[in-house]
Amino acid sequence: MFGIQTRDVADDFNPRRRKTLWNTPPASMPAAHTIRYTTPRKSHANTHHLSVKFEDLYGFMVKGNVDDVNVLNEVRERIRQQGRVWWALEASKGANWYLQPRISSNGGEGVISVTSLKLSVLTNTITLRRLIRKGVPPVLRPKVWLSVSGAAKKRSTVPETYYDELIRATEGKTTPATRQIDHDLPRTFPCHPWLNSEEGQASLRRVLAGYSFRDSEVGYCQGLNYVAALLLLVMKTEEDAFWMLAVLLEDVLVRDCYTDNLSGCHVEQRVFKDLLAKKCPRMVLVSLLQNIAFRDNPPGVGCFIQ
Amino acid sequence: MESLRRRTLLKVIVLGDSGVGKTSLMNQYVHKKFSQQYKATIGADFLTKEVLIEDRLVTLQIWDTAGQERFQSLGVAFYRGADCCVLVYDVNAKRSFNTLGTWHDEFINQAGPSDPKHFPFILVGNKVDQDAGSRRVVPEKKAKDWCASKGNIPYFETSAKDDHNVDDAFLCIAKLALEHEHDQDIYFKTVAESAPKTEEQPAGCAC
Repeated sequence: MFGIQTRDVADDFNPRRRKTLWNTPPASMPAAHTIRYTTPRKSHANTHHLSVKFEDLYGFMVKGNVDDVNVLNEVRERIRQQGRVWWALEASKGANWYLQPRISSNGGEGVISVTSLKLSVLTNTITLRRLIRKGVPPVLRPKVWLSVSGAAKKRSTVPETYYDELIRATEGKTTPATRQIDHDLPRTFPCHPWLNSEEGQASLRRVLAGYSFRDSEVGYCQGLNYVAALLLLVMKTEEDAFWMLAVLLEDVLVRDCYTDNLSGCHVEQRVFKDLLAKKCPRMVLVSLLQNIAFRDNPPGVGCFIQ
Repeated sequence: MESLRRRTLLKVIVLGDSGVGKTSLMNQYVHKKFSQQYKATIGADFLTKEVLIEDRLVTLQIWDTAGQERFQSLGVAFYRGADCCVLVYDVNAKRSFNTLGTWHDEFINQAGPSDPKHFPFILVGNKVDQDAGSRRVVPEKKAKDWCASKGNIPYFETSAKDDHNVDDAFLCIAKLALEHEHDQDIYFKTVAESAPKTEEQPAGCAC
């Protein structure tokens, strides 16, 4: 179901750029989306205590009981229904309607600064926002994420060969960042079959090392390995994953959380601490009594980084 | 009056380069388990374990920290109030040995112990099992010399994978921390025996 596709496109200018890293079934195939048990089903009264192993959407093995499986199947059914809405819209508006240039809305929702605006663009934007909030079907995520996040725009400002050249420039170079990356590769979701393979780790290494050369202030920060690995699984191609990582770090997330002194993390922690003191004062008190290092910083660094 | 006996909480910080096996050592000691599949530690995490030392029940609160250099900037909150610091290096990785001095000094700077010269440290050389020792690059003598230069700090060679010497190392840590705790005479380090047990609970950030 989640086998690694090793097919190389022979006539492609550079196979790595557009090679599909691995495959997920299309959302329109109902059977493929239903979770299959690896433990045989028993008609026993205590079935819900039975621990089962199943593979999730992105190929991770998950352990849970039958109730968990049912909940997950329900979620998948909802995703499938949501998918139908997307397909129906595609049929009426044309394929890739969601990739149209979007209007920038300044000052939050509803305030649109463009006066000479086509009504269809406006309705498309509103529809798209509503649909995204309900969830993007997994097969469309690579395209929609790339476009909506601004990663596609970012990529369009540099020559087509940028990523390949960047990777070529990093090959065979050892920096503090690449040393740390090499330490972390085998520790990044080793439970995932593709990420635990040589091919997967090489791919993850190129994305992370490439970014560390692009942005010397961030370089590589532990935690980015998990972000990049998930991006590879969702985006399917390495270059798209790279641009998603770039747009996340440069435009979406608090970039200072990853720079050399993690100053953004310090800020986030202070804010979190104050919020907690305000909203859950009892929790802070208990932590103090148990001598958890809470006086300066709450132990929540991972939340801001991963 | 058994119920009035006080339980001592000792805070231990584990430091060292990324990938030397800090998380593995801690998990081997507390859970008696080894896994090849540990995640890299982000920020810090702690585990607790109760040990009996000379008829005294003490709770070790062992803080595992991230090894990447930039995470040291977050250290001050974790280091404060520590009773012992465990420095870990990988006997197969020279770099992890060379950075020990930095970790040592950084801890003293950030934790700010009242008597830095006598603050208890311990050095652990981990992964002695790897390839039956054939890949080893830091000889035992070199490590012992380093320990002597830092005021005779105790040295242990361990394998978190094979559970070699891990208990002994942590027992030594607990004893040192307890001695230090006596010297410090800090009042709020002890909690009443009747307090809810925190035995072997993974804690820290749940994300």
